[in-house]
Amino acid sequence: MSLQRYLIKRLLVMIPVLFGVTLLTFSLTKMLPGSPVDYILQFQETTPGLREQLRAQYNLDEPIYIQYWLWLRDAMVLDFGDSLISDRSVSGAILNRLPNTLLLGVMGFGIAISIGIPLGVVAAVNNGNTIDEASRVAALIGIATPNFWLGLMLLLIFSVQLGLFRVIPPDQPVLSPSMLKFVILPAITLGTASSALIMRLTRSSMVEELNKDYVRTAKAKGLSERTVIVKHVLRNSMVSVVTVAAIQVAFIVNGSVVVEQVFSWPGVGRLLIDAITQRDLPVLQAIVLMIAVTIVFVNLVADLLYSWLDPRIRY
Amino acid sequence: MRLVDILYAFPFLVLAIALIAVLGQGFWNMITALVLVVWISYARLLRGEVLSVKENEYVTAAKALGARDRSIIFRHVVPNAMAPVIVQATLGIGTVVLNAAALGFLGLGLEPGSPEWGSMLARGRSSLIQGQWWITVFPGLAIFLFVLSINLVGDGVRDAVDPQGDTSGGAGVRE
Repeated sequence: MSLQRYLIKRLLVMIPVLFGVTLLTFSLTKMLPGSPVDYILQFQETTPGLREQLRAQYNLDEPIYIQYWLWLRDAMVLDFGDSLISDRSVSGAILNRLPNTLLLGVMGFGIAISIGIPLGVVAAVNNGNTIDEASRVAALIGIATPNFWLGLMLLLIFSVQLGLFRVIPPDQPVLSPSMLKFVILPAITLGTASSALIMRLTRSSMVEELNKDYVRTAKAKGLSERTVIVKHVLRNSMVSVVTVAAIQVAFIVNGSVVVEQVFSWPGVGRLLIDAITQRDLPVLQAIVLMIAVTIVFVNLVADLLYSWLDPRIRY
Repeated sequence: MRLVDILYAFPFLVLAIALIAVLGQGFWNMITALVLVVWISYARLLRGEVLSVKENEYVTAAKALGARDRSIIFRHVVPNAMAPVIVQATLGIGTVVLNAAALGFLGLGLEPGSPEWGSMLARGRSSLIQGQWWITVFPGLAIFLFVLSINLVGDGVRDAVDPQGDTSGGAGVRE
């Protein structure tokens, strides 16, 4: 199958998945106890026509499948209505927080890769000796550490004891230099567990590659150890690392919900938790949908990258 | 399997949070939410294993002998496909504990006031700033040691049931 045909096939498969994702998001939030109307009526005096008027405003007087269709239609143009709590548009509230979360996610991912891949290579080259053992132990520790606890410990050491960072970041635009400093600790917290997983995977796929015939050929040609590893083995091992890196995106999203809470980082993850505790239905729906759709697309990119790197894999 | 693809689009914690919001807080609701999230990875794993195991010659042989589908599935295919599932189930305990503690930390775990490591950490956060480090250090250490021990057992189980398996330290476990 050519890459083009594979792309078309993958895109077609995505349609039912995306449909299911929207349906699941919609039904989950519909099942939440309490409707937006009840919420608003808590704060207002109920006049006879008001409830009906509000129900009409939120399309609650329509049958459920019409409600879903109307919601889906608006969601496609990113119109999720207004937040019940803050009177802002939901998309506005999310867009306002999105740069913070993206910065945190990209930095965390960067840390995960820049620690995980080199350490994995070192462990594979030293397969079986003390350095390899040490990396195995480090990975076990990294995977078993709860990220929120690691975050609190970093806060304790660097903010409370050493006083290097303020405990709560100042409320400033995220890309200002003074704010960039505050992303360091959350990004380390976010990246640690991922880096352990990426390291182990890089190691195991490199060990596999190192035993292949082409490695012996390259060595017999007289290439230096370094060239063989960097130019031949590493490139071939990266194929499986790419897929796992894609899974790590979901892992990073997961982690950012918790890490943002630990560091009071004003991102989408905190918005999600606030939306849950305050029962802000439109915000909740929009964030859950946005996360799921992002992950569907990341998986698509990973699959394409995978089959581009290794053309044998196209099914 | 399309259902699994759909559920895979939701990160573990996000789906669990949404389910708890629907079900409400509490012990059994939390268990239900976690189960509804984790079954997916086992379904996917077992599907892949069964697909490869059923190509084996002994399955063809059993068919040729006239065995019924049901007995082939339960006596030949499933037992041979279980090894990675057992390994993942052991390592999966650690993942579930970490996520359960995270839910507790976010205030979405058990009923408020229940003794739970995650919520202890959340309560300790404010005292941490005043320098009372012990309230956060020890519950976290407990979670860490518990998950580490479970993962070590998982590694041992893997060596026992699946000697050729990878040694990626749980890299195959869905988070």
